[in-house]
Amino acid sequence: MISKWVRSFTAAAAVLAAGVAGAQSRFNLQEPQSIIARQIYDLHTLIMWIIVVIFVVVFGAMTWAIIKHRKSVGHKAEQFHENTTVEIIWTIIPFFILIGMAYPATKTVIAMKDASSPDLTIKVTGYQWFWGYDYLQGEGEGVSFFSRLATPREQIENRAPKGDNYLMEVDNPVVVPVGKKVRIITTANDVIHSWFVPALGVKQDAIPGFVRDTWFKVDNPGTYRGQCAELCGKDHAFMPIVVEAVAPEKYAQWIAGQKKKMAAQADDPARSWTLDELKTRGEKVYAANCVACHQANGMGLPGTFPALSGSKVVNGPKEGQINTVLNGVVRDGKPTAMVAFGKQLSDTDIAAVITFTRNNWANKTGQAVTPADVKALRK
Amino acid sequence: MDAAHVHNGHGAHGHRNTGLMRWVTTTNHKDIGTLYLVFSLTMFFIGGLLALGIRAELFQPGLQFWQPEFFNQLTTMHGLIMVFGAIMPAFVGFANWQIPMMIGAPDMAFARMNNWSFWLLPPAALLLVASFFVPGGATAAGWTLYAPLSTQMGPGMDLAIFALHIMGASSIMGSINIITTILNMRAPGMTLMKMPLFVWTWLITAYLLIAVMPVLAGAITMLLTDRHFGTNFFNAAGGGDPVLFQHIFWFFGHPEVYIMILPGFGIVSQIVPTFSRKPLFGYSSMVYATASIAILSFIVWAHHMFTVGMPAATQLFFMYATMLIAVPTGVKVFNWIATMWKGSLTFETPMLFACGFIFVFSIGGFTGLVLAITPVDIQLQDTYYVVAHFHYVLVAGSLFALFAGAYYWLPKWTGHLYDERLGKWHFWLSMIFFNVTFFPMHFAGLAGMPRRVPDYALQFADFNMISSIGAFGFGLAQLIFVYAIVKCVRGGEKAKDKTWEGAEGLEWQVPSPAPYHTWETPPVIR
Amino acid sequence: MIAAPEGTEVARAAEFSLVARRNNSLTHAGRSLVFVFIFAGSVGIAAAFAAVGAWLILPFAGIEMLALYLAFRCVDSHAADYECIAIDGDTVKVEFFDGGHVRSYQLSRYWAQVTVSRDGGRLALRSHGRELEIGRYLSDEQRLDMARELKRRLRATG
Repeated sequence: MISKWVRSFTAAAAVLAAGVAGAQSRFNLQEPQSIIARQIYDLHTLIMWIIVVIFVVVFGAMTWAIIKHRKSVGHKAEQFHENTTVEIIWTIIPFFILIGMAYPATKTVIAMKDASSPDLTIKVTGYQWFWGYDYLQGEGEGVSFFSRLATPREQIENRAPKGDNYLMEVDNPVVVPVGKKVRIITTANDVIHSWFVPALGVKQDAIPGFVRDTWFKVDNPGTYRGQCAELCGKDHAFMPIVVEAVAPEKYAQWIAGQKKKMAAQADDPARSWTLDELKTRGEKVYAANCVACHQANGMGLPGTFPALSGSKVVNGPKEGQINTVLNGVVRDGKPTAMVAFGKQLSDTDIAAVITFTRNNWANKTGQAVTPADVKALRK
Repeated sequence: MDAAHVHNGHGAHGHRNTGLMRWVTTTNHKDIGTLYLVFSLTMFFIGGLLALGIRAELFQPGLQFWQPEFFNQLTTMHGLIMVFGAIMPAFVGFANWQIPMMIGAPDMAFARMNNWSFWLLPPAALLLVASFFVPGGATAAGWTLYAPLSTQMGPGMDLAIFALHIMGASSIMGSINIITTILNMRAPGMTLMKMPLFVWTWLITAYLLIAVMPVLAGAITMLLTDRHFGTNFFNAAGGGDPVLFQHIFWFFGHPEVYIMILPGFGIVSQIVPTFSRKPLFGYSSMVYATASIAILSFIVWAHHMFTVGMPAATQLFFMYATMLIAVPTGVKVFNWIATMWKGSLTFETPMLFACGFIFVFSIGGFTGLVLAITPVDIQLQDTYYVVAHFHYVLVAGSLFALFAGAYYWLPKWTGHLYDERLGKWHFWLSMIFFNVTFFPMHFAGLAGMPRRVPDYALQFADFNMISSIGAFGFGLAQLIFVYAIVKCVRGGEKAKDKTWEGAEGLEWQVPSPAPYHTWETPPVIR
Repeated sequence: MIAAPEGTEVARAAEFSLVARRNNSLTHAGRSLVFVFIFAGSVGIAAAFAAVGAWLILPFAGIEMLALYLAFRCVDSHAADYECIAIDGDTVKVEFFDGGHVRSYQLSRYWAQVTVSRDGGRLALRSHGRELEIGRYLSDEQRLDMARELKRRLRATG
């Protein structure tokens, strides 16, 4: 019996110790993977212990009073009040405790802000609702791609079992070399987003029209996941961030592959497309960019997002629809939820998705829109 | 010389309307107090219903009940309704009932304006609730209404802006009234440093309201003109600055946080000495601590926005200023405990809620200290840790203080003792379910779960399930409160004038229930 | 409050007089100080925001300060309200000062009657079928005291 008690006590102590020692605990910050994240983790642990001590002392006193100084156990009230010495002591002591906390915190603040002389600079752009990455400087300069949620709609709508990385997986992760100082420059296209990767100790708001920066240096190879942390509209919960940290050699390979892919993606402008080819490609583009608002059945959400099926724009002259997709819808001089896709999608993708919408659901125009049509309307 | 009759019916002995018109036209501070309290209780349940909508969706990962757009409307409106519809009017209700009785004044200084400031609220609330039914639904930009997301919203946003304007006007009139009443209508001998702490905290709160309400009004007006009249205050494309909105909002928002908690401190400072049968340990240090918190509240706003990116020196300034708030807050907690120390304690429902307040509010205070540390804040900003933190100070803080105050003064208001057994059930269920709901949120936040999300990754699933179960329990427990109030209003054991053995103060010198008019001629305080 | 005769001319001249004032816990100077304090805070904040481009806060602060000013002025104008009753020779003079307006009445000492409700809730002087309510700033007991005193004084010959 006693040994059972002892065993469960040791188990409980082990769990606590694990939390303290820094092994991954479900009840603590994520296992830190960068210098800054490690400092944040240690600061948090330090403050937690200070708080626990204060808590025990203060509420020990309160509990003692609650148990011992009750009327029901016959305690008579003593009428003392106002004691300047006591009051000065309990003002001064917390003050010194605060100084003890502020000192290490100040060092970390200054370290966090020092984004100078990076090995690699990546510009992160927040869009509603995905991320764009441009490698601006360092190895891999010129690489540029978008990173979208890879979790299928079926899982979100509970029509398929959820995968291990549900909502935390993307089509194109950001790849960085381990041990190199990576400077992240954030900005946004529409509203404020926030680039947040807990294990790297990085959270930086991405503000339209402004650039901000932060930095990290990953200790170990691995995949680190985070999410947008600033409410940015409907799909705020569906724009995760995945950072893959790899050894420098593997990083060089990835850069080479990425450059090849970019070259291949630049479609031959002379190529001619059939209606069916465009429709097939367009369906994919639709699923990645349009389905969240306009829905898989093309009916949109009444009152918020217009239906495409039977829409006047979609069934009208193709120039009108191309303009809408290229430049977005602007009402009263302000951009609406229908953002401009001109910068994000290639001519071919736009042509494909327009062809798809014009020949799907109730729309039967039988008309193919070609990349050349789109190119002609670009300003 | 008929003019000689001019003073017939002056003041006290005027006739009273009956029925509904009595409530519409009343200028009596007690009637208006009741109106405020009933209004805020109603809004509390509407806001609570929205919270349950949020927790239902978050019970499991995946989208079960709502589309993300509607979910965001729920979180936004839950925040706006609870802050502006439930907590603030509830404290104004307490102020109306108690301040004149506690300082020995016959009524509020401007009785007619008092009536107006209440009757502005129902139309504003109606606008807020109605915004769910306009095209595009209610605003979904979060209660902080950050630009430029809020400029994207539909007409629901405009309704919310109008509602906030009206509620702001109501708050300003209320504050002017309260300040004038407290400063000019104290009974002879009731010097400032003899005023009950509830009155003191309200005096400071009213000042905070007057200082920051124009800032909120300006902020939402600039949103409105940005949305419709082509201005570019917050529109980067037109040369504006989206971060400016956050500075303005939080310059209002942080004092607002204290507006919602200071009167709660006041209520607890009335209750703890009563049930300890002992005077408050350090009256003057309590007053100074309240004033210091109010002053500090003007220089800490940017700690809500450490992640927008600001120079290290700015971050450090706001970190130090924020940490300083721990000192006066600590003084308050130490004072309450020193008051209980060597007292003769009994634990009727008001005292239970007051002790619950001290205990759980302190946890919220501690997590506040964790969040004050800039690097840690950057890790936890906009995660569920923050949600846990501000619900610990707002629900376990403001709301528990309101419950404590309601049970404490209900016998004075109704003339009947409330049902002690119901009160105890209400306390223990609220306390347990509150912690079941909000404690796991700390862990979800530490692990990195962002707030304001309708769906989440699988590693957060069990914390969210526990929170959702707790939330429904907490919601149901509040029905006991309504039942206890109704029962107390309708009857029950007759309350003595001085209901509580250890109670001090002028309100316990008038009969229970307090007559329609009290202190028509001021008592003299020695 | 029953105060010694002061300020009013009626009272100073009379052989017997009573002055009742309303209860103000804040002096005129105190009110000005409070107003200046609040005004400096609100307008200062609004001006600081205007300086960084958010000028729309200024008009709201202005409206609010106007409301506060009107409220304080209203209090101020009633702060000096008083009632004065003076008995001098054959006449009883009653003077009401209400929001800056003085209304004074003269009654004949021999015709004036003091009426008071039993609980002291209402006190009035009656003469020739008209009634002047007095003692509005007094407590019930004080009204009863005052009624007794007035009755005695009216009977006494000057």
